[in-house]
Amino acid sequence: MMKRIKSISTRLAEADMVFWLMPLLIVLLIVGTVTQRWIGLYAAHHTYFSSFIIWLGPIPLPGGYTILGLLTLNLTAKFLFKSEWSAKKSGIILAHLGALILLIGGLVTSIMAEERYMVLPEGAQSPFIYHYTKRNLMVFQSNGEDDSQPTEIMRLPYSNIDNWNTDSLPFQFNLKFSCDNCNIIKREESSDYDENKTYAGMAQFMALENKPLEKEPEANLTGFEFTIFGADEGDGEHLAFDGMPKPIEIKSLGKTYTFIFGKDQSTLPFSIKLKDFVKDNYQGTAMARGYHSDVVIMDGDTHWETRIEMNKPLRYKGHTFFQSSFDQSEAGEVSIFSVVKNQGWLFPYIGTIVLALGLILHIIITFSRRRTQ
Amino acid sequence: MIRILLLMAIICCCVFTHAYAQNQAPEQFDYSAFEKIPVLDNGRVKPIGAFAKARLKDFYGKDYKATQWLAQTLFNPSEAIHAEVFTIKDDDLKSRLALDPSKDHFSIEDLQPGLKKTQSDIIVLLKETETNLTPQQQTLLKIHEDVISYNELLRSFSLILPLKDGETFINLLPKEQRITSDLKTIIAQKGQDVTTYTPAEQETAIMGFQLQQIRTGGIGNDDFKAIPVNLDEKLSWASPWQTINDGLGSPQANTLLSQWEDVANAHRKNDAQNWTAATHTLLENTLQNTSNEISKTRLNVELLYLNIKPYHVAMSLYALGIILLIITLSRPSIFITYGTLVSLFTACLFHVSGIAARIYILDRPPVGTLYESVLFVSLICAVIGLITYAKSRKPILALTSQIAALGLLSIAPTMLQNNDSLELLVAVLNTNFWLGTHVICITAGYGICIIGACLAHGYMLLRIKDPVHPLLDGAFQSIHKIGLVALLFTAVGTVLGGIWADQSWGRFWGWDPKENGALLIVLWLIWIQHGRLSGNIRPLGYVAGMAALNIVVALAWFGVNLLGVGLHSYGFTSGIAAGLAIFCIAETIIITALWIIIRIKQKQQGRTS
Amino acid sequence: MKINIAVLLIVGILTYALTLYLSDNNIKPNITNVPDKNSTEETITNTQKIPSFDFTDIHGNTKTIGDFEGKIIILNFWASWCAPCIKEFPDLLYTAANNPDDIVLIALSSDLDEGAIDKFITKMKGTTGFENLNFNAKNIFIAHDQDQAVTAGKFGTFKLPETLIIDRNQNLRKKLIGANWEIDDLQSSIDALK
Repeated sequence: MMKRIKSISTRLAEADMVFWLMPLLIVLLIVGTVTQRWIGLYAAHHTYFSSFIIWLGPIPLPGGYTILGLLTLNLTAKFLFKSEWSAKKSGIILAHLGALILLIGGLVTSIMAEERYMVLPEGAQSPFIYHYTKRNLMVFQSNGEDDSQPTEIMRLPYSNIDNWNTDSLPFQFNLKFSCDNCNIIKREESSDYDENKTYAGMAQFMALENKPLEKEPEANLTGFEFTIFGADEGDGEHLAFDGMPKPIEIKSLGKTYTFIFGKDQSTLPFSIKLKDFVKDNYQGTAMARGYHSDVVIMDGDTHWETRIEMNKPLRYKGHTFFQSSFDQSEAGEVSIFSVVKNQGWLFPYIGTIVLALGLILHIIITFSRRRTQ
Repeated sequence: MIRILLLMAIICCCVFTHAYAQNQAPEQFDYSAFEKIPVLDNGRVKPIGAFAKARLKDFYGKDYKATQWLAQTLFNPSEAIHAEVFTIKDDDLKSRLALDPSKDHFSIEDLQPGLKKTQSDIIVLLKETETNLTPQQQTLLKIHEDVISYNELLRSFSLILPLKDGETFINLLPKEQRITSDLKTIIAQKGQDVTTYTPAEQETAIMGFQLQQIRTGGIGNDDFKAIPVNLDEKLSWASPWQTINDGLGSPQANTLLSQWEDVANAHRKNDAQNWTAATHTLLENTLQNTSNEISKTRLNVELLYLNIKPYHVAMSLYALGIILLIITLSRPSIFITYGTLVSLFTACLFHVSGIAARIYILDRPPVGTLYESVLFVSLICAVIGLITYAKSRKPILALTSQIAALGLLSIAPTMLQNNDSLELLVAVLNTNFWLGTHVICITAGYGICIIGACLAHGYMLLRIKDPVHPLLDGAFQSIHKIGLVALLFTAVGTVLGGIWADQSWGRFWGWDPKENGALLIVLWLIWIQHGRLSGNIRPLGYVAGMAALNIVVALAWFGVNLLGVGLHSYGFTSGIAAGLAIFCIAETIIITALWIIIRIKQKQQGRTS
Repeated sequence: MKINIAVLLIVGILTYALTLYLSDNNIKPNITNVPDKNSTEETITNTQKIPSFDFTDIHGNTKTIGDFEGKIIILNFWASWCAPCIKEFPDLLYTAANNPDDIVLIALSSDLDEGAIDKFITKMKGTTGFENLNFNAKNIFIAHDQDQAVTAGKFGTFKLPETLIIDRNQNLRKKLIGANWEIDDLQSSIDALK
């Protein structure tokens, strides 16, 4: 048994595995890059690089995870079974170790990294960060008019919309139709418009219809239509979509239920206030030389000011804030941050150092060997 | 001996440069002070000489005698409208604009009637996206835009140029109130018929009209920003009209404008002596008003850089070196070797000084734009080729790397966005640290890959000519070593890029086209190395693989910009796609053909490697 | 092989430990200094001394600008036919009244003749809400700039209104172009120079 394992492992450690795997990776890379022009970065990511199998019609082809996984296996096997340390080989072994650390680091990152964003207008303050693509329906319950702190009683992810369980609500909630990317049309123009139905809230004026997906998933306007039945106030046909200006309120048995649909929201352990956003243009042009946000971190009792700009992020309590984008309009200036939490961030750095050292060492060894021959 | 020759080369360069700087063809005016006056253009402060060259290139296509042209345009607009600086070669367009078909260059006066005629066509064309227009339509649009821009230049100083009676607009302005109120009274009394006015009243009417005309022509005239403005913490620049229209005037601006007036008057009166004095005063005062933020040396260097055109000199000398190297291959001689070394060394000197000038003028590492990266990679090829030739006197590596250097320098100008090669960087590149580490590392990697690839080509050609040539073995070893060094630079450069991305955007690797491109080169190198180690790739296949690096690097370097996708799409190109495609296809055919021919010859001789 | 397993494990543990150590340190805020906005008011790089000039105010007093060295000077260029100038005039007067010892307000008019100025003042005094404006305070000087000799000729002002803030050493510190300024901002600019 041990012999069998040993022989398999030794086979996995051979250099020719690289010879066979590399072309696959190269083709994957080329295809995954060129198609980005048409299907967008996100879709290319998911189809080619973050997948195990790519289906070409009925034929299964190895995806990014498969190929990289096999390479990692190859490198690990080589490192464990075929890397006897010696003066001649130290450089090569170190270089391979570096590559292995990079691959493992990549794996750790793809599992553990959390990327969110925050849109902060000038003067505003917020502890909330949002997922780029996940959306959910949050239901809040408040006990009458005076209750200022409604409690969240339900969070239903849009990805699972077909299985939403709303039985605990004191009224009926029936999903009618949903669209991953919606077009907003006039209520009268919707295909199932019926004058006799009761339309509530924004559903009185608007309806949703399906639309092909955008290249960037954040640009999709996701929404759905539903009916409420059996409540004291709010029965009828409703609709909800990304970034709806007014939340939907249903009243039943003395309590108010608020429905808010939008990107998945998480809360930071502190909040950030944008004091000033500045776009610095090259003199006499509209081209940005750089831009930065002057913010105040408000963490309990401590307040302190700092600046977030391109190439100089803010790191605090495990979160890193990057100046990602901005918006300037009549309404004012808005700064957009990307907020990243990544426990495996150190791996690529270590991997890089080891890889560089290994390669330099190997070159020195190779070049000096030739000379003494 | 070689050291003496090199020293001679350096001395020659210095003498040449100095002589060039001093002995320009004798001119009516001494432009040495005028051409240094700083102006703000396209986000950067540059000397007037540079501004003139860029503008004339826009209109005319060449920048010959640009400073003289600009002086005439600014100070003598009534003459300048006759200057034939607009180039139209399309005969169809010429007839459409009612132009003389025998000429290719036209003045703004020639163009005015034709442009008026086609005004309505332009409105339609402006709505289209640029790629949908035919070349003729693009030229028509360009002519219209150029004429508008030229008109703006013509009117830049209308406020200080003398009117009929010698007075200037700016001097008359304070009297405008009185003129307007007098005119009102006259019109109230005598109506609008000018013939009923007394001569004095006619004077008033004419003045009022002239003031109105000139004022209208000055609205929005902000192209020639030559007046430094110190009203906020930052230094900013205004055009002469902006000091009047936008409240950017000041006591200092008044002084500067009167100094510009002196310069203009000296030019109009052909007074060379006063011109020299006036331009010197203006230059010194302008610099003083920038609180010495703008250094005269930097302006001087930029002018020198533009006048000498160091890359053109380098290209000629590289070509010379290549010819000599080819001769060396069949007829080695010590004199030819020395000649090669001197010519290549001088070429590199000019090349390096060109890049050094850019670093000094722009105050950043010399690899921020696509154009600059081509210059840099070309230099790497040239320098490594030169050093190895100097040490080992083996000509193949030197020959192939110089051919690469020359080739890259010749395609470099096609990477430019506009006629000013000293371009600005986008916001995300505004970090000298990462430019100096990651980008330099990656471009050095490109250079080494190209050297390896070109040497591989040379190896294959030599192998066809003479399968047992004594240089072949050494060449093979060199290819292998170069492959290793190339792997070091490209791999480290790629992961440094990842670290930069982690620091700036929060993710180490995003499968972005540019990242993928760099990774492609690394993977290719890894593949052929491991293939050779495991025996799956024979030595000849390995060499062919190294030769194909040219294609891989070209795709990674230029191809990804064409996709226009992702965080990295700031290489902006247009019209490069065709060139790239031709190159890749040609290279594929060539390498495959070479490989096939060598295999056939091997089989014929019964050998297997 | 055993060595290499150990190497992998050590690398893994070290990286993890280092990550923890570094993230602990991140609890201390890493502050990048946000430049204090107020301080930039003081450090204008290229301050220039204003040119010298004389003026005679509406009461007949002739003064030289140099007489006011030691005081903060608000030099305002206006005219009675310029609507924004009229809009900002009360704010200037209030500011002068609120800082009687520190500042001097000099309002130079580009009107055709002095008569227009008198008409303007009379009209202002008669407007509701502005009856209490003190045109005769000791630190206010309203004068006529004949042919815009000072406004345009010396200061390069060709569009009205412009308000120049000059420090105690007769250096120009700030220029307000147009009438779009708030009286609070003007006051804080003055406070910064006190």
